[in-house]
Amino acid sequence: MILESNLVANLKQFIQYTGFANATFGHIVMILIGLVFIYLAIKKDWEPLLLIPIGFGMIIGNIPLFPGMQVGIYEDGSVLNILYQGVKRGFYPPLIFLGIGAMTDFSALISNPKLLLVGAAAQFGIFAAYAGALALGFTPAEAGAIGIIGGADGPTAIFLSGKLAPDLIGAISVSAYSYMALVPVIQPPIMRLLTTKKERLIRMPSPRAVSQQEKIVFPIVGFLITAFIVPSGIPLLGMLFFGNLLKESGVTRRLAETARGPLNDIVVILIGITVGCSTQADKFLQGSSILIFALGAASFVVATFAGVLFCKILNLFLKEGKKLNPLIGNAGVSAVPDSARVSHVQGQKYDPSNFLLMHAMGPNVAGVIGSAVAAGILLGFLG
Amino acid sequence: MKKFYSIFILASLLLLSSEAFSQSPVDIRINEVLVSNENGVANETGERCGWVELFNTAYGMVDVAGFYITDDKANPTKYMIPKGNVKTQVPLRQFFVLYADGQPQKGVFHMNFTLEGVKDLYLYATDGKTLLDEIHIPAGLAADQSFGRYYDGEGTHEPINWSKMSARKSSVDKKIAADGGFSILNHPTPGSTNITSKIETKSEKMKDMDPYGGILAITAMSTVFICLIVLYLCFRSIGKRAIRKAEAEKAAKAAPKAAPVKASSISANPSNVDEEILVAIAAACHMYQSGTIDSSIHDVESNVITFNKDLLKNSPWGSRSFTLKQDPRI
Repeated sequence: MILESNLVANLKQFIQYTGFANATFGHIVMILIGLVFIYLAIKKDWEPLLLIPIGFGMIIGNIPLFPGMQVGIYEDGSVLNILYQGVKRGFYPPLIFLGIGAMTDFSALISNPKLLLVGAAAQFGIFAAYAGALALGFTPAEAGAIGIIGGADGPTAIFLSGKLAPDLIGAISVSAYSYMALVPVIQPPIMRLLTTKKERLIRMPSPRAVSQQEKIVFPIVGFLITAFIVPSGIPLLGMLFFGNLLKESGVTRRLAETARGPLNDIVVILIGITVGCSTQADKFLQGSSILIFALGAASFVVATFAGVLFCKILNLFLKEGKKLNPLIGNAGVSAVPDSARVSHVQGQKYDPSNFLLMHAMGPNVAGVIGSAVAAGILLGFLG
Repeated sequence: MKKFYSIFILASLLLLSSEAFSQSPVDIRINEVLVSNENGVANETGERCGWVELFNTAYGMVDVAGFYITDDKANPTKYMIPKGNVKTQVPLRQFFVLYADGQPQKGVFHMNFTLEGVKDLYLYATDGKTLLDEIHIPAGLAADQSFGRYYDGEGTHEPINWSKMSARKSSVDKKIAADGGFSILNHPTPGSTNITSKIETKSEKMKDMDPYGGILAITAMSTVFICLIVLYLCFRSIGKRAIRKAEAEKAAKAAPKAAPVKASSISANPSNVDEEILVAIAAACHMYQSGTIDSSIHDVESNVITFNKDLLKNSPWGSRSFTLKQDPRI
């Protein structure tokens, strides 16, 4: 009899621990969103390297738990919590920037440095979203973290939201990566709206060959200038330019390959899975998340507007033959290389023999630098 | 050897003096007292009682074991802080709390008197004679209201030179100057700092200063532009220098070759085109005509981006198809 009652009690206790007993509507919704992410990544090829880890992370993070078992991502000491420290304390994003630096060729930018200005102009989306977020009632720190979505740079968004608004990190990072995947959908209508057919046919002069010496000088001088002006951006800028120096120095091939290969892949896996896990239903399914997604979309639109319009304004001051094709303006957002590819594809629709890809890579990589600088500024003002 | 001894003695003296300094009892202050505890923090037995908080103002540890606390100057050794407990070693700039419940049998840090009706409280050193600090508790203190120093360890009931605090002038300081640095504290904080006023974060300051975000947007965009304009100017100058250098090198390379051509009337290359270029053109023509150009050949030159998919599926780390993101299929 005692044995029977103990068995029943144990069984009841066991049932209490199961996911079925603790499931809520929110958990189910989040698991479904995770499945949608995985579907989009596999069937539609939308940023699979990120959406698969994030999507599966969402499923992991939303398995209903009995609290106190030290397995949840927000429970101190759990394995997931330890891995999440890389997001929370912001040491994954600089490591990703190291990889980006090691895989980025800045030649297009070095050969035509005025494209740096296009990258700067596209950062306007960040501050438009910042103002919008303030108007919607977010605190300045939260608004800064939301605004950085407009930089179209996932690691930067994670880095800044980890510092300024840790509670919103899940919504901000998922929003940033979602819109990065949607760059080919969001940008072309705006590009067509702002340009005439004549402008879309502009052919830009071929970039000159850049010497090895210039490529080596670029990360060193680039870091010194940007870091002295915005010291708060050192973690991102330092790693970005360091990675690029590893690539361009020509004597650290193994380190460069590790930085852009295995190390980058490891960090992408960890950041993806932990960001996904952090979207627990009780923290993610809130009104603020919807606002963040809306502001993120608005910031992308404004950034694209600003980049294309800036190219048109710059053309007013450039001589014939040196004018920019405004279709590369969208690439100022730092979604590398998707936005540059969008420029190229749009350009080819109007002139199949006009290859804009390498021209668009200039503002594209300038956008990476610009968004890291903008993140540093926001951190300096609001952190 | 003499020099060595001198250094050794000096070092020993320094060590001893620093040790003595870190153990100085005069650095201990009565920081805060609570007479009537109705809804405040409970002690380790779960009971609410009055308490006395001491604060170590030094930048070194001080052991308060053997110190005396009393409400009667005629009886300075009324309650002695027990010895033999590691908790009496108060770390630098830290707090030590004694429960004034009149029940010393309940634990080592329970005083043998309560603060009900107490007007003055004195802290004596281990000799029971040296007065270290005193506090005059105002009458009519409500329940859960404590009395203590507004800034931890600062202030005295004796007149002091307030100009020393000029670095932190504020309306609060004026209040301190009038009451000797003591105040009724509506938020008792046993074991932690008495400064409970909210410290304004950068974000909050920004909200007051720039509620619509316009100032930050203009400042930040200007900074982004300045940063990238400086970079642009720098690399425009470096680029121009590189172009000039390349042209000079080209000219220097072409000059000695031009002379023999002029000198001899026989020339295999009458158009003056570099022989390497001719070889490259010939090789390209040959490959094109023989049909050897296929998708496995792609350029590796700088500034040329290929669309050819790398088919080396067994080498994921090096493959461009694995490192570059693909166009989504919409």
